[in-house]
Amino acid sequence: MSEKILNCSLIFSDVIELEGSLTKNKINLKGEQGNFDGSIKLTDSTERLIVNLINKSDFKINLSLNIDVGPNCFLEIRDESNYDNGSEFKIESKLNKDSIFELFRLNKFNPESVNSFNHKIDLSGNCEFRDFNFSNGSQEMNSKTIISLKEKNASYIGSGAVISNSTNAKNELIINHLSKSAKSDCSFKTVSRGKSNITFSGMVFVDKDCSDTESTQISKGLVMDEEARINLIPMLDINNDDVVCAHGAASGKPDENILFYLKSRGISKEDAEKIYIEGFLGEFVDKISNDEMQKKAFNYITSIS
Amino acid sequence: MNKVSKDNFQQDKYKYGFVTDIESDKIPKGLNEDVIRLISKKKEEPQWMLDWRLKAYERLQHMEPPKWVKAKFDDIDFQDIYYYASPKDFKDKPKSLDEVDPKLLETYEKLGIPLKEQKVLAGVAVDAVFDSVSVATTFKDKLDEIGVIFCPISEAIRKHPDLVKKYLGTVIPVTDHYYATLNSAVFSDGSFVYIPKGVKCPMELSTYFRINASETGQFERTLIVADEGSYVSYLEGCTAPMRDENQLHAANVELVALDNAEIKYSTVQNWYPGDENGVGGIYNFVTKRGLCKGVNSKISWTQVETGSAITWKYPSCILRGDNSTGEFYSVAITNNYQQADTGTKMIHLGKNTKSRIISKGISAGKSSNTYRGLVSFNKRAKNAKNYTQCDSLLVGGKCSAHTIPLTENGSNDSSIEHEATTSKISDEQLFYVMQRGLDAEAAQGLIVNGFCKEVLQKLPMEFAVEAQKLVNISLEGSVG
Amino acid sequence: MLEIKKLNVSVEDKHILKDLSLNIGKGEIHAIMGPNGSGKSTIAHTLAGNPNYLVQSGQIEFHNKNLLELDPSDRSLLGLFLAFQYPIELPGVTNATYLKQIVNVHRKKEGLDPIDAGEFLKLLREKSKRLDIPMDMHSRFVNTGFSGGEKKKNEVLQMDLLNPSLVIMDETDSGLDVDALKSTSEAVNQLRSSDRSFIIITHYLRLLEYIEPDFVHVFQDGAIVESGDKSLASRIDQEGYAG
Repeated sequence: MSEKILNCSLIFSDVIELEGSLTKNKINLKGEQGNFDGSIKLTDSTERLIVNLINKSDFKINLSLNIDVGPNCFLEIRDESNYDNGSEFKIESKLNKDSIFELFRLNKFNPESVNSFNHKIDLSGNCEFRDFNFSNGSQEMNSKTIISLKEKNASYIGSGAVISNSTNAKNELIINHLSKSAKSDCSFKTVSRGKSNITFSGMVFVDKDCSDTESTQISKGLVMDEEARINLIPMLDINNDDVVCAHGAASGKPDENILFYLKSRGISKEDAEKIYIEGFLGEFVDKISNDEMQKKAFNYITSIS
Repeated sequence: MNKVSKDNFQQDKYKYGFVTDIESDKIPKGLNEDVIRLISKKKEEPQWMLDWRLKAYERLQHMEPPKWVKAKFDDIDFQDIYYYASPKDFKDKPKSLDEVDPKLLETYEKLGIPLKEQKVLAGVAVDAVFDSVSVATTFKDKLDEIGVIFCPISEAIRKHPDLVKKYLGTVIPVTDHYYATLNSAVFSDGSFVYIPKGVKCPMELSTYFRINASETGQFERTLIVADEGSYVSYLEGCTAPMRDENQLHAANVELVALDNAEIKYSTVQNWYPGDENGVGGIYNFVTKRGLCKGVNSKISWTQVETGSAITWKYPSCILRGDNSTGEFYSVAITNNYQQADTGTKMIHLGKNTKSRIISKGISAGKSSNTYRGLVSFNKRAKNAKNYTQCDSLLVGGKCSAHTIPLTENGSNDSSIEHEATTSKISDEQLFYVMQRGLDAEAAQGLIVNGFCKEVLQKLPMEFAVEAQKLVNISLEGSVG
Repeated sequence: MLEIKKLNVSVEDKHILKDLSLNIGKGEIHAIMGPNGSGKSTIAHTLAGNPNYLVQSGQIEFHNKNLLELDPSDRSLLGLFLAFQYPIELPGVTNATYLKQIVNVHRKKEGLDPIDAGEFLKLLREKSKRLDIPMDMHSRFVNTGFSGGEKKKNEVLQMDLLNPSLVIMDETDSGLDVDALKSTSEAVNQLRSSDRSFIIITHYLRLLEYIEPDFVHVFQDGAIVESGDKSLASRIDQEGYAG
């Protein structure tokens, strides 16, 4: 697969601008005043396309995007923008045979803003969707991802983290196993501070005849303050016996023993908590196979812990 | 060798499916004020009880049956049910067993619950409920001596009105939901237990519910109050004849544990599950809730659910007292077209409250098995802890397992832990055990019993063996 | 008593055993030695009837019966015992309960009543002692959390309890320290009799120093490449399989 890397940027400003030149692959996006729609279509499997999303607009960003990743193609989207006036993304993706889509979102939202992210993605045979999403800030944050593993050996690996001070956040993840021999692995972590109310609802659905299914789902939350809340709903809907599915959920306060250990080494309470949270979130940064993005994710965590 | 195929469960022989040939006295079909007045009159209830029922009925007029259960069934025609049935000429509860119709004694004998003094199960006091009435209670004198009240609730309403008034409806409000409200309006019989301060009840208390009459619903009501520092272990068993109609069983069970008291409530539910084509069987829509009212109190639910066409229940604990503990241990086996949607709610209100949930679901045939649970930590529930483990085992490719656990953590000084797995019986395990000479069926029974072990061993000893056998019977014919 | 003729077996579409033929007489001890991956364990699992091992062609006769037509449980009741290389864990199933149940199915086959609880305990105590198995192991779940040595001893214990006429030991020596190897071999030696045959599958010579075989077969790439007496084992040990 793709040896050559092509880096380009999509800049949201008064209009939408594309920096970098594409060969066979196509990006068609139109709009103004924060309202953009269009498509990204990959047909060239000889290069790996990296698309950076950059926000320079004063408007709330409403993005409606269709993504089609052709056979053997590799698409990576990186979004490290801060949407000061909020955002509303609607993405529909289709991965064709043997393709890969990596989506990184490392956002620090304006605490006053309202953001939503809606992603529906269908995977064909041997496709991989890797989804890593960290968010901080926002007054309201709604995220919903529906992944359909439609053919053999389709796989999904993803992790999400919400770190907030006073956010109403709802994260919904639905993974549909619609073919045999598909795999999914999802982890969600959250640190709920202040008056945050964070909900994670994860559903793993395994259809009839989907034998050789493997699925794991982990959700963990830290309730840091008096008024903070975390609701975890890890659901399984299994309609076949040839499956190995496991899910785990845990929420609570940080482990006092660990905090005490750190403090006994002379570290202040604040720093001890910071280290604790870094470790807590860092656990699944390991799942990011892309070195550059793994580093960025670590930096991101350090900056917000 | 043929590869071990896990096909449909064959219809296991439901050995409790017989009908007792006894004439029954029924109140006309239908749900209306007159029916409620008649039930109250039959039970010779005081006015306050009738008023309570009518209030519930009034509320019911403004309610709809809930629909969110993960089960498919046709709407129930609540006007097409007999709400009260008793053996004919059964006016008051017989004073002694000599007065009980021998056919009834024979029925319980056949169910493995002998009521005659010389044969009673040692260490277990039994209240036998037949359709809408209690027919006998054993070991009454012995319990009287230590002040333990164990009697039909209809008797308690007459003899211990203050206790009943004080606690009835305090855990499950009359207005809770449709079926609970329906029960409050039309409940017939069930057991009442009161354990006085400081008394550790020396024997298991047990109620055996039997539906016999056709087209009849059973609406039992059970209330157990454990006063300060007391302890009781209570067990209910249930069976019904094989019929091709669906019969409704909508019970309310309320438990109250005061300071330092402990209630252990076990259920072995084996209502008729319907036949292999999903015809007939009991709709088991039950509301069970315990209130840990006092400090250091503890309520523990253990259930083995193998019967019923549809099981829809969530034995729950409200942990109000500081340091109180709630436990839920469940095995639910579904087979053929059975549907189960069961689990628990643990509502943590007090400080240092703890709860533990162990649920084992086994689905076979074309059945559907759902674990649904809620663990909720109130802001005040400092240092609260919960541990949940729910495992599902699937036998055959046509059944389904669903897990819907909801955790709400609003306490920053607490921990909720939830683990769940779904798997099938491994071929390696089956092969290993078969290599030692056990046939496929016995091998599967052994492994499934192991899977359920953690829950089965929570049952009172007298019933654990019985429950183990029940698990095996449910598995008979499931491998070919 | 056991006759294997031109046996071809595949696992997951891979052809493992190739035209294997072997005769085992009453009371004989046969050792099968071979490098890792040569298909030694495939013989064991095929004889015991593991459904993942597909017999493509060939015959196996055991006590004059066509073994290939029988379920694993019927093969066991006929007297075939496989000591697993990796004994399977059965969480939740108490070892004592399990042992009693397997003893009783074999008794039933003999037309005997289930064993009395007291009598079973006595039997279990006696047999466990011989293997240095502490009685509290029997209140744990079958093989669950057992050390490698405990698992292997539990296999030999089951062999002892079931009285088989043919014992297949699949790398029973692997994972055993010297002491455990010694006590396990001693127990096996006590089980030797003129009615009982053994197939001992091993990678190393050391087990055969304790349990002396009548025949040694060298197994390579799914077939027996050389057969001989005990001296063959020592030669292999010195020269390696390639020679």
